[in-house]
Amino acid sequence: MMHRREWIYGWLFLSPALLFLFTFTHYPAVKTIVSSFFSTPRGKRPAKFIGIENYQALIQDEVFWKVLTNNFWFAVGTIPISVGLALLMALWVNSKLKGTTLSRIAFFAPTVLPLIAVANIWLFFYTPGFGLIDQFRSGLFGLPAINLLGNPDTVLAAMIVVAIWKEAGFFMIFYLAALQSIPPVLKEAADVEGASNFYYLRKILFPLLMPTTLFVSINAVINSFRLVDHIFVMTEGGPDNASSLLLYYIYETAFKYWQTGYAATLTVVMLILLSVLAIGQFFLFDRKVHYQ
Amino acid sequence: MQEDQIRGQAIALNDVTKSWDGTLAVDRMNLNVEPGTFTVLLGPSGCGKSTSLRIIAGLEHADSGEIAIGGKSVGHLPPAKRDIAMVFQSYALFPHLSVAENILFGLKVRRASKADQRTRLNKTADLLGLSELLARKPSQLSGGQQQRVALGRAIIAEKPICLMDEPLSNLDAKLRNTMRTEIRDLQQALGFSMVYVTHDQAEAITMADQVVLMKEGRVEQSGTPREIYEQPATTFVAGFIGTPPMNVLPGSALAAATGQANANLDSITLGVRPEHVSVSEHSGVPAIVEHVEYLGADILADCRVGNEKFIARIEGHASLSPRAEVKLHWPAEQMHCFDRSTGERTPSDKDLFNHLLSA
Repeated sequence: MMHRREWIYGWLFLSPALLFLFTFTHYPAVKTIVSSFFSTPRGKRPAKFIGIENYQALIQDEVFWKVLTNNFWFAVGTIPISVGLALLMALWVNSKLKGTTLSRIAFFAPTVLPLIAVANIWLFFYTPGFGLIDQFRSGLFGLPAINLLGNPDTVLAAMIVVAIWKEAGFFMIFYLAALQSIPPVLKEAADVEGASNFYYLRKILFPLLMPTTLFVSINAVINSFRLVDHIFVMTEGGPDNASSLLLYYIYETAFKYWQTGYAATLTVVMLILLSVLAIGQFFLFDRKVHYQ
Repeated sequence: MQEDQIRGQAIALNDVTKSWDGTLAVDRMNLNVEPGTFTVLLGPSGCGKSTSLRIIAGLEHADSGEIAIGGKSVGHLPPAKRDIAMVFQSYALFPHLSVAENILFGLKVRRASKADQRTRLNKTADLLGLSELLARKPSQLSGGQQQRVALGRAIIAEKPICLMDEPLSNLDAKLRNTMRTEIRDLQQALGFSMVYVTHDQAEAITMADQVVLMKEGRVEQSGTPREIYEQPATTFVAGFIGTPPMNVLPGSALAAATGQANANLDSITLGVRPEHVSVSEHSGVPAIVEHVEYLGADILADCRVGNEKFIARIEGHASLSPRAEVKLHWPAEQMHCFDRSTGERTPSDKDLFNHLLSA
């Protein structure tokens, strides 16, 4: 009897959280997977089961492949640089040099700003003719105006820079917290043994920061698919889908073109992709990570 | 072992001063460590002993003064160039490295040959009983084992100097006693010079060749454990060394208790060790017993002489009860005498004490 009652209590305690989790995460996820096998309902015509037709369309869809490729390069461009930069900034502001408080604030500021605001700032930087970049180019070197956002060859790179600027400060905080939890006496012990700063960094600090690196890089991967706010403000995916990412394409398909069935299919692809990446990272890193 | 002996180096501090934001941590410190000897820096917390050790190690820089190792000035050198090994209070083991990698850390930094690493590792592991644990991570070891790994990392390179900062303070009492002997034996066997920091006077007395007792950044007294124990230079030393420490009380209090007023007594402080006190019926200083602590082999009797506390350590078979009125007696030559205003040791006056104790 007692056992049974505890079991009920357990579920009662869990139920508020579970309710929200099911309503807003699990149910939509399952519904998405189901919808991906149905046609888009229009007017009086309800959705009807069409099997894998949506998936076949997806394979034929050039824009899908384009945004997937864009997203790949966006991830490759943002993740290593933002994580690397975050570590460098954390090492800097963790040192005993003067002015570290100011740098901490400066590095963290982009994180506090909403991405929409960040996008507006960068929109000003990039504006052809009188934006900050062109002011420098013409003022200092007398170079002609360039339109970084209007050129399909440069627009993705310009988006990558914005994302790095936004993200590095956020990841820095995690590295900074990890660095502060490493006892300074380890550095002293290494000093007494004659280890150079670089040797200490490579053999002691990096391995001890591995759990943070794992955490940060999984977040970076997820963010590289998730962060699309700046695309709305700056390019709307253009020109010619050159800056469109998977999630932005899903948004367009669902809420601009109202092809909800196909949008569900795209979402399933993204879900699978993210799960595989996250799980893959865990397995890849886990053997190398030392948890204290 | 004989052929493996390391030649210890001498260490000398000359008028070393260090302050933190205006407060003096080390004040004109002088220290001489003979090659191959064991020196303990002893003192209460905040006395500057750890700072002194870190200055020798090169982890802190002195504001002024000279630091010499093996006769050469090293004040400007980083720790790695001073040819020292160090064991930290928290052991400072690298948590992600195995025991073997931790011990070999210094040799790997200096790119010693693989063969050299292997022979030294085997020898060190044998010496410290770590051979079975080499593949483990520090978190899988007990406190005592971690301590041994830290020792291993310090001795593997056979540096001429080893510095230890309260290495035993994280261990339980029983382990501390065995490690004490072990560290002392290790130092004797390998022959390096040791500077060892502790706040535990029993540790200092049992391990050291030379005890340097510090207070508020200054050296209060330095000497062999026997000198420190038998001839404390100040009332502070007298009150710091010994369990329980020496009874220190103003001469006037003793004079008042015995009724033997004497002008000479007013300017001095008297000290007598509890173990030299005996209880007698007939003559001596009248006292009242307040607590009796039975320790088996002996009894600690907390007494009161006038208004002063006074501890006597007497044989275990004696019977004493609280509130008993007793007379305390001790040999005149076991009486220490200090200047009342400076606290410094002064020559004692036997006749005066005989006079006092005959009351």
